[in-house]
Amino acid sequence: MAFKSALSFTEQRRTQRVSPLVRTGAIVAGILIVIFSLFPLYWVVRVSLTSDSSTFAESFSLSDLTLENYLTLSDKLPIWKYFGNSMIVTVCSTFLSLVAAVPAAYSFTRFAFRGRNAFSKGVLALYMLPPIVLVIPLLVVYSKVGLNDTLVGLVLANSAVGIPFATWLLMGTFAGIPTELEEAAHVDGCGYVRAMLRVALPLGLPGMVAAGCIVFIFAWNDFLFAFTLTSSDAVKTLQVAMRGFVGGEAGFFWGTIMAATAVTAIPVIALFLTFQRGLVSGLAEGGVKG
Amino acid sequence: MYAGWLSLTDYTLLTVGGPVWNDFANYIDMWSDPTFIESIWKTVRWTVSIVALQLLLALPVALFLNLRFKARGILRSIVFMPYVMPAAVVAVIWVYMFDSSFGVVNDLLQSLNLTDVNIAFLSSSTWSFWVLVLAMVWHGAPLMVIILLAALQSVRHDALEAAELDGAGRWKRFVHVVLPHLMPTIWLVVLLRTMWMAHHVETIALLTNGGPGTANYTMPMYSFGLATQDYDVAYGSAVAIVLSLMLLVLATIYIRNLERAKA
Repeated sequence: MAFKSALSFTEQRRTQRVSPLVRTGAIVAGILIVIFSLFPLYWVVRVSLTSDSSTFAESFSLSDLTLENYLTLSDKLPIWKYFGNSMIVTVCSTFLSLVAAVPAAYSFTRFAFRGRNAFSKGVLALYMLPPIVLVIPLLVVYSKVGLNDTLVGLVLANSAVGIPFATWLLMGTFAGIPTELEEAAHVDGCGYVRAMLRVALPLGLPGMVAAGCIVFIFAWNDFLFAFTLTSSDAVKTLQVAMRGFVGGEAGFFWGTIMAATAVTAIPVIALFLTFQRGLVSGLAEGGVKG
Repeated sequence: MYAGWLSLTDYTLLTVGGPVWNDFANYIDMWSDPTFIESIWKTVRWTVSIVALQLLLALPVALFLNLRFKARGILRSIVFMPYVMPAAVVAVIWVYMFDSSFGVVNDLLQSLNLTDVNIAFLSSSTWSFWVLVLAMVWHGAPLMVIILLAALQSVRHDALEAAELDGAGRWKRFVHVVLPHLMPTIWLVVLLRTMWMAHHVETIALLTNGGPGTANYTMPMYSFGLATQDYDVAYGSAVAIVLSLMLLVLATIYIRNLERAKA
């Protein structure tokens, strides 16, 4: 990668004559960074694996670890129902966002049409719109058309955020694919649609995976829409359920709460660890590049 | 658009009938509403604290992760992980850690003899602000690291090489070669984060619900509170619209910069 070659010159030589003092300093810095990033997560895991009776014990030993909190979780609250709600909303929003964003981004980068510039700027503006401006009118409109307190409503709301983001990100992806490849396909007798399906989409796949992952994470993590637009237990998502735990008002022990917290966090962490590379570059691009 | 129309009415979710035009009353009244006036200052305080702290933290971390060492890949994953966490999860964790009776932070402070009483962090208006900021910095700083790291990776090594041949030390190379290269990115990321933090509701709503009282009512939090607790969607919209107009200025600068960076 370009990154490696860019660094190899300076950094490799630097490592050769690095003093033990600098080396130790770097290791200490590394450890501090790890502690800062992971300590809160370590705490979740530790508490969730401790039985309620020993939560307050002064000492902590490995033999106290137990899966009890996870095993009894579903007896105490309908966690899998919430999990299912979250999953339905998230998967549908991600799918809808990609289905809308892929052709949109493709046509923004491939075809010159009147108002194209205004459209793509509009996409960018939507992406920067404060969500709170979106959520209040949605609340009113939904309660009029009967979409409030439904999973469909949540899917639409999350897609309203996911589509502009994915479109913007994919515009960068498609702009990076040389049009010559599709022109070659045209020469070989492909129509526009086939050229798009056979040439541009496979090449743009990494970008689509990244966009999909990011939309998935946003939708999964969404609290604002879920909290504002739904109220009944039947359509509660994990994030809204989490809110009941803040301050321990629901009367659960911390071990239970932390086990539920882990269940809420695991899907996004797993997704992140699987698609890390694409995700990270997607986030970096979504943040600054065009 | 609809938010704009709503904000000009006196509609609440409990009103019978539709929204009624009320001659900008929401926009006029807000300037004599102390909660609103304070929320402007609170938004600025919240945004500036977080963006500054995130940048101060993210820049050294990004520089560090850009070095060549064995565990770099793993360390990067670890650093980025907090960013993908749901805000609700972050809230639960931080509330627990800062809990007044059995939070780990109080334990830690006591074992260091810094305090001998349990501090009720989240019910103090000063402390709660800093707990919120800390939670948000923890949650959001990784994005800044990602973006800065991406920019660092495109520093031209021939420029660094030339500087080194000219006898520039590490610090001079950083100030004269790396930092100028990073400046456009830093500027963009600061603008973007400022916009995001200024309209951020979730962490505040989840951790303290804007409280204690209205101590942490930033503008979006106030708007959120109006809509979800008082059902005053009209006034809530008005507050949100004022916020959007303020952010529009930043957004315009951001888009301009983005286009310049592309060209």
